[in-house]
Amino acid sequence: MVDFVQNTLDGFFIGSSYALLAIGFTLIFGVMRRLNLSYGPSIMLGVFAGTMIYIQLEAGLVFVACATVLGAVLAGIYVERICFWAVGRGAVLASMVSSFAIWMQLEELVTIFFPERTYAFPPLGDFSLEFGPFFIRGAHLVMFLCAAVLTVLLHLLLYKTRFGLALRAVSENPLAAKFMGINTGLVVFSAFALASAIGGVAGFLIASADQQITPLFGLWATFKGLIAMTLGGMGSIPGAIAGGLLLGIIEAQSTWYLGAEYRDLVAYFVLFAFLVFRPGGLFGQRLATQNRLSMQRV
Amino acid sequence: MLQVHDLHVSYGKARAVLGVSLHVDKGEIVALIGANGAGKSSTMRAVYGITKPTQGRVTFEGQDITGLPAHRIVPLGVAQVPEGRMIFEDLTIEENLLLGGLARRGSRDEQPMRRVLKLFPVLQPRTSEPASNLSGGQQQMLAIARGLMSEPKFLMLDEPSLGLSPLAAQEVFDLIVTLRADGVTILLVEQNVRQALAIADRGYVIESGRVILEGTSEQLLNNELLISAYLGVKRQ
Repeated sequence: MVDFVQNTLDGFFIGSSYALLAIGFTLIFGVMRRLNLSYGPSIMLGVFAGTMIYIQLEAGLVFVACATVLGAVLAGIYVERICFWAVGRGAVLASMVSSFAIWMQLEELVTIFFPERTYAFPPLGDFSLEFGPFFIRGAHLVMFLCAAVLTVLLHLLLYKTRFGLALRAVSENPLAAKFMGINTGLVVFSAFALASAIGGVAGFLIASADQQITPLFGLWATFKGLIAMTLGGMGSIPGAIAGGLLLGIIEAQSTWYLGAEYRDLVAYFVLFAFLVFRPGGLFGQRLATQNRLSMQRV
Repeated sequence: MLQVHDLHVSYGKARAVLGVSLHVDKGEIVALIGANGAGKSSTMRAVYGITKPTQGRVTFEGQDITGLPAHRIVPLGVAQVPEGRMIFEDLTIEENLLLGGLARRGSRDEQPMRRVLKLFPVLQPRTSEPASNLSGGQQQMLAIARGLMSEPKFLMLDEPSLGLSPLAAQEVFDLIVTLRADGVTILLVEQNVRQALAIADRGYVIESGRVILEGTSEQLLNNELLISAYLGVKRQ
């Protein structure tokens, strides 16, 4: 029982970073109804920007964090311009395929400039807390707190500002938003940059908890974000949070009870089960029907 | 106020509008009438910058607005209530209204909201409800109210009576007359020919992407062609 609770705690804290990844994914999916497979790789580019100024300039943690977020945002904007702006709005499949192509391109780029497999990333919160039999890593606690603060800020942005209102309108019906005189292209672009910034923060937190990074980070982040988003329900922010936490807990439990080699297998199995029995995810059932309607509308 | 000259609109190979010319003067109600697929909505959307015209010229108050996107046209004092209402059902009634005023310059003040709610008392007590709670007629009212939030001088209404009960449709037509009295110039697309011409000053009949007939409402209502093609059907 103690193990189970400890695993749940671990999974919960790690899951908060998955939740951030899923929020970024879901924001992009929400405003465009298109999947950005290059989301993880653009975060990976940011993480490498962070590691570069850490290694080359021995920059402090704050600068590394800024470089990571900035790198992720610039890479995200690059992806948006190529895969989602240059490729026409109706071309859902073309966007996805081109985002896959850009993924490969970014990964190649990083392996050319960073030929070694792993690079050091500065650690964050090198302490730990104990409550009775339970143990919490400092890095995980910081991860969770940052994720929680960021989620609250995002909520305020979406529900208390004009930009947030416009973004929600574009998510629900882009054509109607155009009729309101909203510059939908600008909203989509900003949402993309925002999602990339959130991804950058997630990337920074994860890399500093691991204290190292590899070019495979992009693949990893896309998978985690995609699975967490799908579990929660595509396009739903509460869903992304729940999906991220759920994925973290499932992984921690299966690592403990079945072994680390089964961790991803169990996650994929749960994903599959969700897709078959509850395709809308935890929070997305209504949204799934709405998507069908909005497809018909287009 | 609005001048449209030789407007053409195509969707790929499908040509929807083939050289429509029309004008709306300040203070008028002008009706565009015609059958389904005649090119009325395409004309409206091209004027408003939702679709780009392939040819032709649109000017508003002397300014060339041809091909400008809607977010550049709305701040000039133009609004369009789209066909099928397009209410944001996930949002509250208040949020829907706020969205209507979002593109207006200096849209922080609360004057338009108060004025619009006074015009639509049915919405007043329900502003925090989700818009999906409203009936079809009320949603149409909300769509028009939302269009007024940007305080337009020129309002375009695309099939405002579509899918409404005769009573609700009558309410919408009465409202349009009130708006004109308040100084809003109106361009109206309608399939409900008799009611549209009853409130309009002038009308254009569009068929297969061209204006086939134009004149004052009175002239149109007495036109043989119009009677046999449109009013005749309505009579039975």
